[in-house]
Amino acid sequence: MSSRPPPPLLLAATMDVLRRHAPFNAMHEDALERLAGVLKLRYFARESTILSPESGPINALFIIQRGAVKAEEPSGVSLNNLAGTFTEGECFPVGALIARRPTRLRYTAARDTFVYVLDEGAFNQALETSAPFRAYCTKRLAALLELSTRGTREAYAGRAANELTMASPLRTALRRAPVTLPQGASVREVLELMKSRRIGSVVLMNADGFPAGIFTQTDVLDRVALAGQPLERPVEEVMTKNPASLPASAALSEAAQLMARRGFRHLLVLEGEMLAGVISERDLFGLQRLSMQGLRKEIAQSGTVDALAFAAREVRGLGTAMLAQGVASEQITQFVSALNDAVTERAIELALRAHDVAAVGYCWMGLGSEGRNEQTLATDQDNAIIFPDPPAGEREALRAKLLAFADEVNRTLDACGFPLCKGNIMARNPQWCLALPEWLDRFDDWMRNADPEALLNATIFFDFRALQGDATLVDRLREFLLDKVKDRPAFLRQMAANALQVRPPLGLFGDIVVEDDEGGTIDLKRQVSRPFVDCARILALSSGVAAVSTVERLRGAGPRIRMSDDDVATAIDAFQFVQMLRLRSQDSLERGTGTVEPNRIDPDTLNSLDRRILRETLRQARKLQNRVALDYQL
Amino acid sequence: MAPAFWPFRGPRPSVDPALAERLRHWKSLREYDPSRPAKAGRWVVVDVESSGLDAGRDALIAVGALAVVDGAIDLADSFEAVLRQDAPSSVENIEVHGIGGTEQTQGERPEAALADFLAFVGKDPLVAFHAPFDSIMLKRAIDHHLGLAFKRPWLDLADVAPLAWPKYASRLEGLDAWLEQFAIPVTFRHRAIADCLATAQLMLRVLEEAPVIGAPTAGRLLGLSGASRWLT
Repeated sequence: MSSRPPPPLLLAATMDVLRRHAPFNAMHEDALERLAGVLKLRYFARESTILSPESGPINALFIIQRGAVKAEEPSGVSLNNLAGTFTEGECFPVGALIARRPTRLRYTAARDTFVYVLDEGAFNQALETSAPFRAYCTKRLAALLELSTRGTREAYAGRAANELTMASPLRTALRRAPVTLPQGASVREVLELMKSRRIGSVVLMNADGFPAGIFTQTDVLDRVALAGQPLERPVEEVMTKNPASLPASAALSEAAQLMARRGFRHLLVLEGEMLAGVISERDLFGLQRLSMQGLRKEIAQSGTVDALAFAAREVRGLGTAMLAQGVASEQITQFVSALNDAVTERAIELALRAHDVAAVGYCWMGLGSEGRNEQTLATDQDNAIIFPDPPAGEREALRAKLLAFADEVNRTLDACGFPLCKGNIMARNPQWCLALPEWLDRFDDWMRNADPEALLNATIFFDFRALQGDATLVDRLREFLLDKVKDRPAFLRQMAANALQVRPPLGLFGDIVVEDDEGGTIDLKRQVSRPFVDCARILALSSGVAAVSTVERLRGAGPRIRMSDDDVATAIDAFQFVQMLRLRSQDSLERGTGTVEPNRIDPDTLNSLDRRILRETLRQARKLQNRVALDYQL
Repeated sequence: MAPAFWPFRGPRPSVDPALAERLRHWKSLREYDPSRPAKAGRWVVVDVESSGLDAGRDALIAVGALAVVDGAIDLADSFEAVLRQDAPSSVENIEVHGIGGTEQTQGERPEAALADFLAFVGKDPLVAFHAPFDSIMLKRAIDHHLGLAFKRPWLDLADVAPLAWPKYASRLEGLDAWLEQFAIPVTFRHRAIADCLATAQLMLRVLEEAPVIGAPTAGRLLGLSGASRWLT
């Protein structure tokens, strides 16, 4: 050994490799340098064992430089693959090293693999001196998630900084001087200008220099292309004459209301009589930043379906704004759910004006994701009605009244951005507008005959929640369910088998397996989120937990089924991460920057950190499935 | 002023007593054990940069070395020195290794740097890709500056890699081709220490193959290399 300092290039090269991964990318330069300077680099040929329980107490941390490492139960019973695969930048076995115990798992090179080895002394030093390193090692997933949240916040920060409140005057939101042409210009000239300037509208001016009309992108389709108009026609014959305008001092909210009421997408903004600019619907919603309180009030005070629909759209804007602020997805979905609940309640109140059913004592139920409080921004309707059994012979007449009422509510909700359910799981469907005893029979029937349809129904209807009306009916239905399901192990086993049908898209080497015929994407809802939801439902039902949301179900069931607090917390973190990804994906869809399918993402578009968390999330989903598989010996 | 009795060959540069003591110490070090398992013990991967490709005439500019100990690259067990030159090498040459003119003329005193190198290497066997070049460059420089005959066993990976992986032998020529085959990255090709790191990763693979190709011991592995002739 020489007493010379280590060659700087060697150190720099090692640090460069490490810095591509958490937690090293968050470590202070000095701490990272100390750590990198004492690493050893080892090679393991494919299939060779790196560590096993026989290796004795662990005295070093292994960091994968390149390659992949499988971790398996040493018994060779790897069909559950509880442990999974580690890839570049990942560390193992953290738990065993901290506890100085032998590892439980056998670590094998899945490919030819190079690993850095950090000995115990240097590991302990890094634990002591580096907070990010300590956080990573002691709370691996949580630390990764926090990094990601910070990333999300930063990604949105540029936008948030520019965001104005809806009370700001219009002039603050104008992004460019107005683009105008004389009204005598031809349609072709207008189109060429729109193309070259990449704008959605042109204002046409009269001889006095005042706005005479506006021509927009939508008009091209309606009034020129489909109407078969020649491009040489003067634009004044097809433009919108005397377009709506507001003074530049008016508030953004006024513009939004005017657009919503009159169905305009563009408004002229005037300083005095002079044209100052054009504001579009898109501009407004890009700026939108609304308060929860304001929105609630707006929803509750909506006097018409149109006004309610406008408020419902603002709910989505709020979801986006919260995402921008890095709010946890559980909170976002809770807020969005709460506001959606308010919209539903208001929709019902509006319908009650025309339908005399309030005295019946019914209860309006939310089902599926709405029942679980896990609605993302694009959710269609899943609802039903439960009503107390009337005296003999009056049931059908009462049902008819409730169906007419439900139909109006369903249509109002549709207008508010909750599309009608394709599977017709809605309160206006006579099948799902039932008296309490009918519901009890229905539930009982599903649990007795666990056929595919019954199982499918169970996944939707067993996630029910009272939204409006007499909640005691819903409580009685739930008591019945929890009481009966205990005696139906065959039903639960079938449900478990169903829940295991879609496996998280995790490859042999811990890579994310995309679906090539879907453009190299994965389905966040079907492949990632649903395993959590389905498993949580089974664990909750089997252990008598009444909670409906996936998070609450896991929290409630965990202690009863002897899942450690850490395992529960990690599963919840993972579930919330995928929900956050779904929100983000839907948000980018609305902004026109994402894929067409709201729930599909291309993992390659994620940053490396999020990709790693996604992998960890997939592992957690698989772990939860494996737990269910073990319980039911599937 | 050289003493009347001088233990080293050749015309004597003025080696100060402290340095002479270090050289004596190096000579007295115990030779590595050729019968040890190939994977056990220490190998020193070496790479040199020079002012040109003529090993018999061009000047040694830099030396990098990195130890592989018990089958692992020990990043802390590493060495790098730029030797002071009277005049910088040619621009074309500088473009190859990236050691600029100033860095060359302000390098370390060659005597001290090479003595440090000897101390770093000890009596462990050396490893390089195309070892004869590195071997001759070092031998000349050490002889010139320290008056010491640097006759050491070298393992030439250019000889051994084709034996370890015969299926690639006809196709792969040169370090770059082998590195590419095994996807071994090099941060700065032709910076001595960076080349050492890459070569050392190839060495880790060779050590895994050694028992398979009939070279379970260090001595046998060295025997596979034509470069063992440098042990005189």
